[in-house]
Amino acid sequence: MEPEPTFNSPILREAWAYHMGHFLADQRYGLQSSEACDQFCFDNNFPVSDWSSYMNALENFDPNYSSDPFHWIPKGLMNDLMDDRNDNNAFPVSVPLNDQVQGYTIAQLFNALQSDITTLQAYHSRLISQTNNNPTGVSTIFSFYGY
Amino acid sequence: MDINKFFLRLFFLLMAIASINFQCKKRFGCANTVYNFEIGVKAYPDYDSINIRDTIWFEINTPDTLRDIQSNELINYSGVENLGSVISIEKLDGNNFTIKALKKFEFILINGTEVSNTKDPDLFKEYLLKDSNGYYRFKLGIIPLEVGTFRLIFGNASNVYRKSDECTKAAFSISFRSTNQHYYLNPNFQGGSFPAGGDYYFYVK
Repeated sequence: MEPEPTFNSPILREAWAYHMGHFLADQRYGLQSSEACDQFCFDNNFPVSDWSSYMNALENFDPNYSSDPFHWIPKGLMNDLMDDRNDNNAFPVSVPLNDQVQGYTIAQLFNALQSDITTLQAYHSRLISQTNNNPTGVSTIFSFYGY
Repeated sequence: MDINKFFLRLFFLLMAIASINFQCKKRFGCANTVYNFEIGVKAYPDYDSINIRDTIWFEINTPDTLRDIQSNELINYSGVENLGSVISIEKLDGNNFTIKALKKFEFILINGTEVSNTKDPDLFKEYLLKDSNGYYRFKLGIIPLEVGTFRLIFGNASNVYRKSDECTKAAFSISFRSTNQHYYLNPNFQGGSFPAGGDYYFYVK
């Protein structure tokens, strides 16, 4: 049986839940998936080619529209730490995020979700202390999500 | 006695379910997006290079009865509470647009309302569209104060709701129409086709 995260932040719980929901659906269905609706409804290969609807939904999440009552949930944060796509160099650009980070794994993201982590800032610090993978780039991403 | 308690609980349970359903148009909960709409923004004059202190206008003028992308039905979505866009401007630095450039422009707002966005004042400005007489309207002029190559992005609007109905939420994709977006001003552009977007490039001389 997999261990359950014990982190104590609603923001982190929501972020993890959105990420894992889409990530696992992508693992299971890939490009055979149906439409994925989150902020918007996305199809396979749209707007990012060769990406499933689920990963497109995560990648194109925009946390900056403060009039969206749910903009505070960093739905795309963990995907931006894992993927090798820089949003800033995409065509068209949906969100102006200079994403220079790649290679984080689900295990690394999960291992930083510990019981004493109560804020996203604390999660950021724990992630860097455990992995030391591109601290500057990771700070840029957390900052883009407002944390 | 126990039977009375059972019926009392059942009564309150049914009342709660009925209450939720009446409030939310017979859907359980309000979190999901029901409609997906697309609206266009036009830039003019859409020259790829302009002089310092010239003005570029960005205008939205769209009927508030729109076609839902999923169902293809026409939906009257008037009386919106929070339909708008986050606008960001960045300046080219080497091969990437990474210099936050909002402060390198003056802004003239003709239609719409600026709302507070404290996320990053050097990068983002947020506006709500005006919704009146059957149209969403927005008109913004930007005046560059510095030489360089710039990119302006209109962000999409999500979880939009109406004043009369906070449950039936909509997502609005905002992209340029009838506008040359000058993608070739981005050093990373390699040609090819891709979906229309809300990004616009221009050079200030």
